[in-house]
Amino acid sequence: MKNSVTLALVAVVALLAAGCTHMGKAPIGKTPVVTKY
Amino acid sequence: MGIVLAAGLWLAAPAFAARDVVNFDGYAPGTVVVKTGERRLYYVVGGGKAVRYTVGVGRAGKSWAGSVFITGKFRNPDWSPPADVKRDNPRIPNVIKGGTPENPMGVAAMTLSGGGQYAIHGTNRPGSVGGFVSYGCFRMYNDDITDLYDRVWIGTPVVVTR
Repeated sequence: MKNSVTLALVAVVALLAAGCTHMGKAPIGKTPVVTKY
Repeated sequence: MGIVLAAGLWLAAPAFAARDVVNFDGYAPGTVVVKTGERRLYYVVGGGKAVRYTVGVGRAGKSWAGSVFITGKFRNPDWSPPADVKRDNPRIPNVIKGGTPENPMGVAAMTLSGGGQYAIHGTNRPGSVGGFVSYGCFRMYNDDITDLYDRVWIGTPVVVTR
């Protein structure tokens, strides 16, 4: 029981970390930005 | 050991130390303020101070004012011209790869809310920075946009004044 709670917490932290790391970066596939210049 | 450490700090310092920090009041820390007439962009750091950068701004008839926010951050983005730019310059390719000399975004771009398809970006024409040159975007030296890129977040407020 204790192990599964720990595992769940680790998974949540890993997902948050992955989201934070990717946040603000160009999307995968590198869609062009369409802006004036 | 001490000499090596001091040399390392000296080499690492210029990225922030070389910036032009000026007195600046009236806006919350973390706000980007563009003063179009001055052709300057300020990043408010608090304590009555802001980092000041030179920018290219909208040419006659293309400048604007308002409050928006950063909606996206992109390093070396591929770039596509919007319809009005394409109409003015039909020979512009539909997509220009990021990191190429032809890409007007330079090394980074931060897109802005408001629906105007404006951005704060780097450049492939550094000689144009500081002029009234753009379609309403804010054009920075690549070194400066790299510095600003690391200071701002998606959601950072951007206030553009005449």
